[in-house]
Amino acid sequence: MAQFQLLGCLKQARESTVPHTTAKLSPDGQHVALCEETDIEIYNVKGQTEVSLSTLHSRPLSDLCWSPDSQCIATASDDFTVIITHVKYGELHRLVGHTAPVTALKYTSKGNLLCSCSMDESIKIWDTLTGTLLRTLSAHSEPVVSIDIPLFDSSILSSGSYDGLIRIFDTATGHCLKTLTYDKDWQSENGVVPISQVKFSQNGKFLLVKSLDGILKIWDFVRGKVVRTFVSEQSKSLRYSCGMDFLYSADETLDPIVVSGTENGEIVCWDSQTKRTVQRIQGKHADSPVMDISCNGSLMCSISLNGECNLWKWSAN
Amino acid sequence: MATPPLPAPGEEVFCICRKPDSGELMVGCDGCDDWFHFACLAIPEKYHELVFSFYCPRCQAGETGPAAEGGDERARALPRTMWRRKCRVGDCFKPVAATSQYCGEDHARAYWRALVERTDEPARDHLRHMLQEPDVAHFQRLGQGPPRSPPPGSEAVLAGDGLLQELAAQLHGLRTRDRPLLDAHSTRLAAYGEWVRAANQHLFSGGDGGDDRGDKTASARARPKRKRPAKPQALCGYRADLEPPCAPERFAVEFQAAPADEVRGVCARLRCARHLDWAGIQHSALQFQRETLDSSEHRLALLLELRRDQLRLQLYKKLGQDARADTQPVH
Amino acid sequence: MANLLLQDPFSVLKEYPERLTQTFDTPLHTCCVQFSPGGDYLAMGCSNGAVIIYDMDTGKPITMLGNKGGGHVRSIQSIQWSQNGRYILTGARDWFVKMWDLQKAWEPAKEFKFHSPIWTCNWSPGKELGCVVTVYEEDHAFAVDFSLENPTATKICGSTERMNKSEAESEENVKTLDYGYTLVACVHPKRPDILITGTSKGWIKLYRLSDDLVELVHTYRFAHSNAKHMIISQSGDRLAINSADRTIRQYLLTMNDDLTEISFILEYRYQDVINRLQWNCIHFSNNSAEYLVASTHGSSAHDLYLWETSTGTLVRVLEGTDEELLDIDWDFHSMCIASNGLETGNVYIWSITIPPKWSALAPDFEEVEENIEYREKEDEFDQIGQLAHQQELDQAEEVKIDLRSMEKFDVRGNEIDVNRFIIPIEFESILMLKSWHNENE
Repeated sequence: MAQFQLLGCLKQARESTVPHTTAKLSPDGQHVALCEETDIEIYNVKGQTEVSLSTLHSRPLSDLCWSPDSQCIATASDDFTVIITHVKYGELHRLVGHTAPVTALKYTSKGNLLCSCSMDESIKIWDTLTGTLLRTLSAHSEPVVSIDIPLFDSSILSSGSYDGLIRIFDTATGHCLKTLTYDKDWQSENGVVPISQVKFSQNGKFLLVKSLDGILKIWDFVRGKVVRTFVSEQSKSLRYSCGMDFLYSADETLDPIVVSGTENGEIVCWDSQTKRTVQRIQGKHADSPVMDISCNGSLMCSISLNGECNLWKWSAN
Repeated sequence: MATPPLPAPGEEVFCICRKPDSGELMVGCDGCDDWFHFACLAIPEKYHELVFSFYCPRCQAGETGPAAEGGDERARALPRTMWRRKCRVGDCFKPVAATSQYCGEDHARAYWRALVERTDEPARDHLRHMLQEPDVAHFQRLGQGPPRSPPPGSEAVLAGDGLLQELAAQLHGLRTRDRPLLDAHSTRLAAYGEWVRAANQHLFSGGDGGDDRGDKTASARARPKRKRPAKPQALCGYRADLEPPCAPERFAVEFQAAPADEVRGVCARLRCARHLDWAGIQHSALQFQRETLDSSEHRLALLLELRRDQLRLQLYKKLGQDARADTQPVH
Repeated sequence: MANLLLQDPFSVLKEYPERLTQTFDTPLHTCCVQFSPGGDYLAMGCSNGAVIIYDMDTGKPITMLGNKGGGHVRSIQSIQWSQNGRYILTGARDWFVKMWDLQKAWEPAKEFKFHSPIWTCNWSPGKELGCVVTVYEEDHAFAVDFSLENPTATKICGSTERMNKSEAESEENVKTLDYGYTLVACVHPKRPDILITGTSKGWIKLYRLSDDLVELVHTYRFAHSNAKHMIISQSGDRLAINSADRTIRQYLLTMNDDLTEISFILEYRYQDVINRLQWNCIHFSNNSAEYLVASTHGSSAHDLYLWETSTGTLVRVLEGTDEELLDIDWDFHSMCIASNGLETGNVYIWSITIPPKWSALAPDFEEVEENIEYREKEDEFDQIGQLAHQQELDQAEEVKIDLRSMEKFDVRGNEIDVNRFIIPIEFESILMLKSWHNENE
């Protein structure tokens, strides 16, 4: 059975630095980008630092997203703006319009649109060529913290919000097409469970959703049914929105793996079909919450709040 | 009015001293037309080139001159001596040249050289670098972007960047390969156009050539052939390779001997809808290529500049980080 | 795509667009339009030879073919995208046929120069990077092979046909027909070896092309005037010809495998009986072509007419513009029709508008057409045991799920090709524009 093997540590944890919330593998699988205050650090997958790009953000960065051609990086910041930086030539666009910190970003697979969501409860869709705002979707009543668009189908966009709702929008019109929510018995005593991340399956037919209590579910969003549930351990604090992703191994006969980070520095992997736990990585990330998981091919990159960033490879022993 | 001292008989006297001209340097007043010694008015003699309009103390007080003669409000205002702006070099008392702060090129250089000499050593490099900037527009923009002066080690970084080299190679290619090719094509087209004109001239303006086709003149006139409108008669003249097949005279003779739709590969139809505007198309294509070549050069220059800026920026950042790392205690 | 699964099926499955929804106010004068195979992009050929590609997501131009040189310099006559969306074929009045690789859209990948203006150019599906071109005042169409380093053009001329007319005149005993100039051509979608051409004297010629042999297998005279357009349905059994005699003729085309029996059966003729207008352009709907849409010539008509091909009846007039419309293209993925105006050169888009579904905002709501009197159902408030409910949820998690395989067709029956070409974003033009803005501030 295949497992994650540690390829290397891209960045060591450092004391008294700003919180790290994002590290992403590039679509071409060659690089990892992560945020360090207002800078973007790019490493190649061999573990060497390649370059540190400065952005003109005035507040720390909360998310970054590679353009599908791996040439640009969009960064979301607490200063309410999004900046698109070309890896070779520097800043291309500064997208201004949100009225609260920007929380997450997602490019469409064509790279012509960039979607951003924010604490201002809205989702904005930007034209990446001209840097202009195309439309604003306002359909949540709490901060929107995660958005996703299927790899081969940019006609829909899903969003997860602290209001506990998952919505599916039509990207072309901005209309809400579907709302998914957990049953009423899913409400905790303090109210609904906020959603922390949404992620489409590669074929765009299912949606993996993680809520702030650390539970993951796969939705058949067309029918509006939960088809899989994964529980590692309940997060009682509801403080950290830890990362997760699908890992699609090269062998097409195998079901994808659901990879999820926990509040105490573990990474848990399940078989998406059988729900069996296939691996539980402990002893890394020094009990710091694993804030982001990014998979591409057989590679996986994890980053914890303290800045430790590791690169893993899914391979047979 | 004060009484002037008696003049010596037969001699004209000047100045407040009322003495005759002894060859001393004098200046003429613009108000009373009297002349005054520099020395008597305590004006240093070296100012003599800087006088623009001089008024004597009396005119300035309104006793004589325009203010005393009266007139309207403006004329009665007390006149004042006007001076020219002096050269910026301290011991030069020549007036400045037009639109300059110096009397001439030499002093402009001298002034700046002195300024550079006075600057302390580290700043002098920056200054020199700025002064070497060949492009005026660019010089004026200095300070708007990241620093131009290269940080240490930037030469190696710039030389080692693949993208920079590629862009430079493309720019070089445009200048040394594409542009000459375009120029060559342009000359060839012009030469062929000339040949067609010559051939047509031999055929139709010589008198005997066009006779047998004279009845078609009207229809040929409407055809837009080359840039000249309403040419009475002309053959289409299109040839695939745009190379004159023979001398125009010879072509004319051959055509007259055996008129056909095509002679020596040259389309010889009078009304040729098929090749309509062939020369115009060729010209447009050349024009278009020239425009795109210009914009390509512009684009590559910009990309080179942006990439260089980006690399310098990264280098500065790295230097800054290294400096910080050095000062921090190692854990 | 997935958005269609979540929308009102009755709106989604409408078979033709209904309303003018978008106008592209282009800086240049558009002459012809064509959507990319997946409907992502719209290519516009302009009167000055420029070809501009619009992104349908943003409604803005994203690239201009040949912006580093080698573009056309006279009006574009014909544009065609390759099946995978990576290559574009353009033919223009500057005598060139050019092939563009959108990976490097700044200059033509290959080009071929004829000796007179181009009428049409079409990809030939039987051959990699091969195309069929019809040229001004030529008796035959040409096959251009762009897969070669130096592209070549060969006349598509049946082995039994005379190479030129003068030869035919001199040999009077050989009975030949003057078909006129070849003006239009289209390749049979199901039989890549069959080429159908239309001529200036009203003939349809059907050729069979093999590697070394061209055969004229069938001719058919549809009228005594020239063919302006010829289209064939995706299924290959319906053909329509727009000719200069103000008539669109719709044929049922049947043929057997060895092409010994070929027939053109006239199904319908579409004419404007009142104004006797000519038709500018025609286009079929997808699959078996249940609809035919046409634009009218003349300043008095500003609409597109849409007929049902099975009955020949006019079912829809697409309105909204106030000028004559020229070229038409129909994107079946997002169900929209594009057409360009003669005077302004603007491009108009008609599409289906699907109203927002407000009930989607709440998870358990359902929209009903009219009020339904509430009657409690037998089991509506029955207490389902906690256990039974849990069992139901557990069962849902037992069902096998497929997170890998892609959908092959969308709900409208169009093939979804995930490998459809994506035009690279031109960062250089962004930087150029930015520097231009900086300088002008």
